Amino acid sequence: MKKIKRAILYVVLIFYAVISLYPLLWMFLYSFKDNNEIFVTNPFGLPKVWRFENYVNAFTQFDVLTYFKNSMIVAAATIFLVELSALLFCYVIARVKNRLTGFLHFLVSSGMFIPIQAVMIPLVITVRKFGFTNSLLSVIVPYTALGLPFACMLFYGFYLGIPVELEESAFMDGANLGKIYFKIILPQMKSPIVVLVIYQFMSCWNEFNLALIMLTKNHLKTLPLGLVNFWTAYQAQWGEVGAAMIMASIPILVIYLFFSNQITESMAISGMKN
Amino acid sequence: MKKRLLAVMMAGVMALGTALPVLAEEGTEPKDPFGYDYVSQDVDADLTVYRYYADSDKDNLDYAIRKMTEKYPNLSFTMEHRTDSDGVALRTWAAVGELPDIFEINASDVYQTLKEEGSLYVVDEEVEKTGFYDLFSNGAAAKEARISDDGHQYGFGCEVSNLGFLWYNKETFEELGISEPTNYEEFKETITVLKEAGKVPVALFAAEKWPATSLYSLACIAEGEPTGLDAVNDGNAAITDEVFRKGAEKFVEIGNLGAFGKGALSTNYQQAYEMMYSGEAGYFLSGAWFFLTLEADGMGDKIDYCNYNVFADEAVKEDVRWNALGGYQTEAKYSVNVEPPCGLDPSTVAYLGLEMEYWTRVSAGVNGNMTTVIGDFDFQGGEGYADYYENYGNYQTFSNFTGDLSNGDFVVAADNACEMVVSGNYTDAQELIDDIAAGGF
Amino acid sequence: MNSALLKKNRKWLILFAAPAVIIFGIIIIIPLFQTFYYSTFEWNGIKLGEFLGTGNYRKLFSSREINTSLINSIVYAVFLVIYQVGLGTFFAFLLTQSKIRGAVFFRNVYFVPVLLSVSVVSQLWIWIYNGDYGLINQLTKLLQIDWSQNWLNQKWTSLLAVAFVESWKGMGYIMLIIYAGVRNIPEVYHEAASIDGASAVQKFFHITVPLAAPTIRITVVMCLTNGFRAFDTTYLMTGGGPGIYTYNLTIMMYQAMMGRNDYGYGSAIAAFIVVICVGLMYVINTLTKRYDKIYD
Repeated sequence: MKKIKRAILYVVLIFYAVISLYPLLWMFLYSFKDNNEIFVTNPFGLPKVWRFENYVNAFTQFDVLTYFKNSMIVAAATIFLVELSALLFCYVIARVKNRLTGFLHFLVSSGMFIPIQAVMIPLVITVRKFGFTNSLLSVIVPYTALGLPFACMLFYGFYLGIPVELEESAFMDGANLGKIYFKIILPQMKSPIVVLVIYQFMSCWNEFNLALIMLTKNHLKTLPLGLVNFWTAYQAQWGEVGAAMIMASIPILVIYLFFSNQITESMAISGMKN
Repeated sequence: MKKRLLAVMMAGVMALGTALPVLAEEGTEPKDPFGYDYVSQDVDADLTVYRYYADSDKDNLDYAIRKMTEKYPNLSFTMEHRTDSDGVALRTWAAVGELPDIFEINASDVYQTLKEEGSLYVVDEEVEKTGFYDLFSNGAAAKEARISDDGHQYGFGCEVSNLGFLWYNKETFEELGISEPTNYEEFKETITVLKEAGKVPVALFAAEKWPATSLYSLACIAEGEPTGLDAVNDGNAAITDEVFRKGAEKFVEIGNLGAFGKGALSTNYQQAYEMMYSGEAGYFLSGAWFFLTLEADGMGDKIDYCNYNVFADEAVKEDVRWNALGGYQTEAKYSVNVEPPCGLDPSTVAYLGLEMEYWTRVSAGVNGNMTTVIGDFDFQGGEGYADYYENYGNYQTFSNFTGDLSNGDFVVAADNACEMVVSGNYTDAQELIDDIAAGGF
Repeated sequence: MNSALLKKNRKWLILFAAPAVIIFGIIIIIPLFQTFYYSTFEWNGIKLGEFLGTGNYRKLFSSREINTSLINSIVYAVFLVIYQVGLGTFFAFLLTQSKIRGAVFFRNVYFVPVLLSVSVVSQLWIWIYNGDYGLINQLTKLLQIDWSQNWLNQKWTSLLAVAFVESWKGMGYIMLIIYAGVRNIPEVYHEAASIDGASAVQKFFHITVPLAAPTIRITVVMCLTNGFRAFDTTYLMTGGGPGIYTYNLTIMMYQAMMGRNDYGYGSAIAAFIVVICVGLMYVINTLTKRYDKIYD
């Protein structure tokens, strides 16, 4: 009886794995097809003709390196800023329980619900006032702000899970908050930090609406913008667009694969601690 | 309204007087009509230009840029490709004062606001001095369209207007034993034949909102409203008027015949014409820019367009033939920033803009495509394209592709209602009319 | 933290909190207030028009689309919660069981859809759903079942189909968050329960779920609010259509701004969305306050 139960579980797991992986496989396959195969004759299967020239064309026509570099800079800077500001801020919110912190917590969490199109125009004006236009800062700072609510929500929960006794005993020994935080508390937060890196990286990497408005000079554009240029031509070759998208997705996949092992490790460590 | 009527009449008059370009043995590039009369050779700046910069437009613009940078060695261009069709980017730049030097305005409300705010440079003088519109065979009509209510021109441009048609695959039709329909009865017949052969009769790329609505507009044109849905948009007619109800009946009728595939609402532009290319679909609705795609794909001789309005009854088909879907010359086209960020004074930028525009149109001709620049060009197009070129001068009235209509509320209401027809949710014309009428039109 | 410690470390606390508060305030709070402000005007996105007071809001609540949009948004949000939190918790729990081989592999794989661009995912599912040659209908034909639907063209199937795609795409991420929360539960609890003879299912409902509750609460709030803010997937797959069948609040807002050029109206819708989401979050947090002090 137990064996049948286990078998069913495995079937479910494998089935879901297949439908999770198929889109990536599909995108990979269509990046080798031409419009005709993609749209009419063979949308789902293996390419009848493997058109490697799609990749060549995509690479030459589509300024991959510049866009890639910009996306990377934006992602890295945003991740750093979000992690730093959110970690510190949430610590205060989680440990100090008064009306002010409660209000701030509420305020920042509400930030999650702002549909970006709503604040876009006032935001552009604000960014301009600060002189960020025509630099990557015009997206980095907004992305940071946009990433804060989720980061806070994540960290808040984890901070609550750290017993207060840890700091209290350290305070008894006369240490100040700065030292206590960085030496004792921070190491406990490895898993949410890593989780946030992945999430924030993804948000930045795929973000389009804000980047479109802020980054108007071609040398500043991020990958999604570059892709849209490629995509919106009336004579777009979807295969080439697919090739460009595969090239644009590689970093995310690599980062995820790299960090996912970290997650497992840090999970295991925190599991053992208890 | 009066002004538009005038424009339309002038278009007709000028078009009739169009001299077809002589088919020369080889394309000869026209001489530079501007010289250094307006801008000195050592002009030093980097011009930012925002317009549709892809497909053949890119080729034409690159040609123009080459010509300009050869002529003005210290001039450089930064091109920004227009990726949206509703003016999103333009709107936001306008709101924060970040407009480029020269930009294409593709949303009429943005144009109005910018004009009223004084952000658009008045180009009357530059146009006069260069005689820009005299360089084109349809120049007078285009110029007329650009003149605003206050008598000034806030933008410039003179392009071959894109008219809307249904293209069809000649081979597919031959195999099925049908031919190009010239009236509604024949059209319905072809749809039935195509449907029975398991094909999608009309490949509508209804992932975008305007094809379905424009097709409906085409039906209304056939029923006797020369500008189709423009009349309702402009407030000169109500959707409950007889002509629109009759148009709706035909539109819904072909829907009920199964003209639109089940996936019409999620079919995109490339997919739709690929379906027609490969014989999966019979018809494809698009605008005359599609001829350029056909040329680029080498399909110019396999695909033809329906010369007659497919919704027209036999009795009136000749009358309505020259009432075009599309081709409406908007007042807004390419405008000059009244405070150009490149640092030059707007007058210079205007002269440069006019010259650049001229060369892009020349490039079209040099590449063997249709152009209205007066000169010797070697037109190289397939049968359908050549046909269109010949007939281009005969069109009397023009309308908008419904995506370009100015009344946003009306467009949304019409788009939603037409989607319901294409998706098979509305099977009666009255449902379509009621839906749009409920929005107050 | 007691008040003595608080006073002593005041400077540190302020320093810690400051960056986030400043950035957030300038980038989000101020523009948000501006949006609320603009929602009381007639605004074309470039120049402010006349003052309308509640005019835009009245227009919103008497519009043709508001009822459908609200219902759709609610259905969509609930669907997201059921699918993502439900399956997320199920898989998170399953994959922490040491008896399951290849748990790491499955966890990684389930996350892949999250990494893909939404445009690719939407396009693929459009084809899977296609009424004529889509994968689903092809499969049902193969299995001789007469059940092929015109998925994206009909009233409820279109909404659920799109909701399914968004749920499917994001499930991996919710699963990951819950997984992190479940892993944080000290092993001792489970061991003690096993010794007492509890089955896997009992352990799940009596230990895992309650102790992972703060995390699960976060994910529920996320899913609900994502449901009300849903835009990309719907826009790409159906554009709100056919007609208004898959309309939701955000699509209405986008259309108001881009289609009707009525930015004041769009801002009012945006304000409405914010109020709903904030309200939801507040309500849920208050109702589940008891889970906050779980470790104290």
